[in-house]
Amino acid sequence: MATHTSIVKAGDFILRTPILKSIFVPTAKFFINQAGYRELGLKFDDLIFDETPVTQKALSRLPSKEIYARNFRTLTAAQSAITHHLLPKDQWVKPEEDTPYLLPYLLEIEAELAEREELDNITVSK
Amino acid sequence: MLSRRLATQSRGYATKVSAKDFPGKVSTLTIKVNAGSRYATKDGISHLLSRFNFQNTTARSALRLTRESELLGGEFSSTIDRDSIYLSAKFLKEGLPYYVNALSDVLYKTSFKPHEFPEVVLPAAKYDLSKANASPIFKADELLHSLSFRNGLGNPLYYDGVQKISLEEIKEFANKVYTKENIEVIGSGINEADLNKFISESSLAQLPTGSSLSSSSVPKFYQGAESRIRASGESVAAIAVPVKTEEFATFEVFSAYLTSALSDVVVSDAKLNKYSQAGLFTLFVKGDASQVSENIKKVALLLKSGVDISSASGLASTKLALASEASVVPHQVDVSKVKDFKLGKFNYVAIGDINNLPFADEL
Repeated sequence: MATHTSIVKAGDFILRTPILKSIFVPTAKFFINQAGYRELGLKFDDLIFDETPVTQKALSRLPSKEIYARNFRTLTAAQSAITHHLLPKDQWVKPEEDTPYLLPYLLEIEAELAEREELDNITVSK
Repeated sequence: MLSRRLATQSRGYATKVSAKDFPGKVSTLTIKVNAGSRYATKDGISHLLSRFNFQNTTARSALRLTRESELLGGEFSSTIDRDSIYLSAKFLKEGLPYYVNALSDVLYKTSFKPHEFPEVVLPAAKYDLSKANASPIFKADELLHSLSFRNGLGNPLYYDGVQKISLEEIKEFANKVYTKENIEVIGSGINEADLNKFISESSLAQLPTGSSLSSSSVPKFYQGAESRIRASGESVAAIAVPVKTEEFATFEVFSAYLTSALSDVVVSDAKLNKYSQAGLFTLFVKGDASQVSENIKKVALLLKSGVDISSASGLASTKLALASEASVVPHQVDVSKVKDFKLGKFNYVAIGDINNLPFADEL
């Protein structure tokens, strides 16, 4: 299964390579617009599947302000979805506000797990 | 161990280093930081800082540190008392460079990540407190320190959550106490020249300069206080006398006398807690309330009438010699001149079934 670490790695590679960048970045923008999550007031990191131990741990490490804002966005989006309305245009999440607030925590936890995995399977040679 | 030698020399950096070398395979390296509970800016902050030791550093993670050290056959510990925080490592002799490096990284490079505080440090601190509080003698000891010294040495040893402490405050405290002047490196089973060489190459040499917190003034003593706490479990009656450094010998012999078969009174524990500039002699009687009441009265009667304790000076000097072998920083006490002992004013604590325990004025 792809981890967040491997996805970030692939993303960095794409951004480093001009030809890939010129293909993928516009596609990504088109995809984001079609997905329409910003029109419900959500950020991309709100969509990350959270019923995994890694994400749960990352959520527990979020600062209290961040977790409050996340819950607020989730409630707003749920309410909009139930009533089959989009938010008024001025309340849409702007591209510059769509920051990866959860990703650094996910990467840190995955790095910890990878390190544990490595140390658990270490072979000592003298 | 006739080949043992003790040497201290001056160096280019301000940290005090001393090392004893003797044949054997195991070395112990201890960094003593003058940051015990008496120097705490908030109650329990020293304890939390001590629990933050050996967590993630910018050089390596806590897990890696533990696993690497296990592979080398060593172990780390961070302990606290009223005077100091002790960071120690026990390892096979050839591991010295690694352990000097690891210990100094803990002082200089601990990253104090926000999630470690609630996930690792606080549960560990709570565990320490609840384990200690399971013993009524510990509770009595804390109370006696608080009665006898109020502030400073009277500060609680462990973090109890009465004063809220934030991560920022712990960082600030760490910056204040982990300075070149405020720490002392003590090695045993280590060649001093090697130790100095490795220290000058490690991040200990980059520690900021500050001032030693070590107090030189004698704390104020308070005597004649009493405190009683209802609690379930075994009952404890305890007596404490704050002691000046000149009187350490008398109280050392006296505690040896009380805990040996030389005296015919029953005490659970009697000891002299030695700190820099002051000490506290404590005496505990533990058990069923009626039994405790009877025994503490007997002890008090004996002490107030005065006892000849010179018979215990031999025992005391043996005990002291053994203790200074085992301790990190040996105290020198000359017990040969001690003759007799009479109790003057004292602090008294009763814990447990207090309705059946005597008051201080009934002793």
